[in-house]
Amino acid sequence: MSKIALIIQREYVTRVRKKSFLIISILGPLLFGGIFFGVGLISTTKNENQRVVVVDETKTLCGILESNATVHYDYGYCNIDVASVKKIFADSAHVSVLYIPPSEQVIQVQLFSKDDPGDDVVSAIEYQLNNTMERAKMKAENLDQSTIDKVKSNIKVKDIVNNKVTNTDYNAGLGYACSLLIYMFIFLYSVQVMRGVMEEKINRIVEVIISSVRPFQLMMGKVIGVGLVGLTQFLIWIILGFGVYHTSSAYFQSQEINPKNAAITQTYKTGMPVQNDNLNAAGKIQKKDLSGAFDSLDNMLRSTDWILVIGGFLFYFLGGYVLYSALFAAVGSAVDQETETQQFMLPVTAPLILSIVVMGSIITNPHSSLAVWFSIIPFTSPIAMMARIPFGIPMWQLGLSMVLLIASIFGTVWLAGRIYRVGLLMYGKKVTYKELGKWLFYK
Amino acid sequence: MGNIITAKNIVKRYSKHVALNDVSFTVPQGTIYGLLGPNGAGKTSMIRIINQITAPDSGEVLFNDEKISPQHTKQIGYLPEERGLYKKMKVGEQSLYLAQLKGMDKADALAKLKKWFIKFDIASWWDKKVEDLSKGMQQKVQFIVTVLHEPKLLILDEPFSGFDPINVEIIKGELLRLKKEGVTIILSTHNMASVEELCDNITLINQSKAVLEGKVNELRHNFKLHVWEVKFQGTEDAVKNALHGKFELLGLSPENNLTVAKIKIPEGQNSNDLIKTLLPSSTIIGFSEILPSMSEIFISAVTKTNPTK
Repeated sequence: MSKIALIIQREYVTRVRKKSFLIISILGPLLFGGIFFGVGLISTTKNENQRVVVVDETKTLCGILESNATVHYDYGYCNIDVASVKKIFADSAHVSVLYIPPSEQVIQVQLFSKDDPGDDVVSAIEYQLNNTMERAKMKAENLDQSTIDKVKSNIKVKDIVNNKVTNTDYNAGLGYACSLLIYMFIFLYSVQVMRGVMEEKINRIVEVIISSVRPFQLMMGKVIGVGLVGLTQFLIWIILGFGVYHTSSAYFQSQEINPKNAAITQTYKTGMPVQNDNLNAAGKIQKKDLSGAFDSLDNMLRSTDWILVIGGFLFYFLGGYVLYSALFAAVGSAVDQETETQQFMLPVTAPLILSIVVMGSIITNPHSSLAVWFSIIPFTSPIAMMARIPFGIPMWQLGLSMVLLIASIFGTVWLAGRIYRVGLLMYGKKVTYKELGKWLFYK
Repeated sequence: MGNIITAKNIVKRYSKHVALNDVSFTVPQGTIYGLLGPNGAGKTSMIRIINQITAPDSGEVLFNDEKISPQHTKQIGYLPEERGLYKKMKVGEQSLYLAQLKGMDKADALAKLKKWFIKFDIASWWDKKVEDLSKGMQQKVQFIVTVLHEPKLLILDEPFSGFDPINVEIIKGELLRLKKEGVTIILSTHNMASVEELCDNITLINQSKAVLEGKVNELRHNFKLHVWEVKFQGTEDAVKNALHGKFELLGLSPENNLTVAKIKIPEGQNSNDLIKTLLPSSTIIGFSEILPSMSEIFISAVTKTNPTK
């Protein structure tokens, strides 16, 4: 076996055999899946609603607004003056006093609470008030329900790019997810390379090793070995993540077809209660909605050029990782202690963090000059380009970005190797940037 | 036999200082060669150049009269002064890894490691993690890994540090055995007693320059101060009177029933003159020249080249 293969093997095997690797491999997707599951569970089983005591001086809304999953209306104090009602509930949590002053238009509605009841409660009340008032007014104008239904419009814009139906939100989500994953992996595994380099330096085993192999071989062996660990972990995550997603989405589907749950979900969404006799209908609607949603998801998945996305992901994941891990290796070699890494970490990680900062802007406007430049400049391209790929990009930009990334990998690895071979044997003094510069030219 | 290492006019500069300034020396094959010098003199820089860990700014190193190149690394075994092991790795696995990095194939390395582990009485530690080993045991493992691939040249930087006296003797014995088998050893150490005991030749580096080179025996003769030790029966006063005005008496001390005197012979006189002077007043039991220790030579050479100190 060649020496570099031996190094790769050691780096890979010692890391994969660690308990922490197993734990992260299993817990990672479980954690993500668990978060989704938890959020889903909380939103489907929300049953703690806000008690809203209504004080209505117009005498028109008492008993009209209907309680639902979000808001529970209490009409027991409807005719008492607001000041004394407020006094009664001044110290009660989860209780708000809704005050509707005497007015024909009902515009000066006030909600008094000890603690902020939150957006959901306020919007649910607003929605019901507006809805009730609207209907009352229409009735006053002698409009019947069928006329109202006729004048309502429901326009949806279908986004067609290159003769394919796409969905901007979906593309944004895909781009965001890919970029974030790349960012996370670059950070996670480049830091592992740095730690590995520091371990060898601080352990003082490094001098023994570089009397047998060249420092560059040791560095590249470590970079490749750790990169393979990253790929392995990624593969495990995909397999496990798919499994977890499958199980949890199956669970929610079975839950939502149950009419009662569907009614609750629908109530929650619209703020309108569903009558008991309408439960079965609601279940049907939900089911229809769901299958419609799956159809459109299927369409969206079909609209993606998966070869480009997966190919791009692998390329930018590996390219970005090699670029940064070489720099992190150089940082690790230049210092004696973990705490000293800070001063060199900042400039190295700045482009990474910057690309995450501007990612929102790149995704909302994937063809702006900011987005184009960030996706071509090598240090930001792995993240920025992945955010753009789902939207469809000109081939020349992708080509240029890839060529530049490869070229700068060669440059950076060379640079890092020069610093690394000198840094490994420097102990006991704090290194300045000026000195790092001089190391490049040592023989 | 020829020279295994020839260093020619080696210069190595770092940003703020010159580590080696025109250093040349030759290491004859099959000898133990001492590379001596105070801390920071440039020994480690020289050793790293021979190991091709760094390259000199100018000058060259020859290995068996060929320009040294990476293909020679498997003929060299290097034990650095600052040596460590992967703490979390198992002893056997790690030794095997380091041996394979030197170019040994796995089966060969495994067979030889087993022999050495038994010889050094650490076979039961094969599956232990390095962090569970005492420092002395780690040193044994490192020594084994250094010599395992049967290098023609061994370079040992402070090999005895961290060992207890029993293990120091074991290592010394191994070095002498290896020398007998034709292995050349470059030894860098501050332990001057072991230099006298083991080394055939030395080079002393001070302030980046080679200030002294030669055979240990010859150096001790060249640096001798013409001091003799005389054991005699007789009164101290008689000896003092006899020497008076002719020889310098450096010290007198009783030993059992005898007296031991240290006497310096001035230029122009020899040991026979001293004996003649002493014969009338005392019975001479023993008479021998005191050669300077390597430690004394080291100190005098270093202070001579450090005029400021």
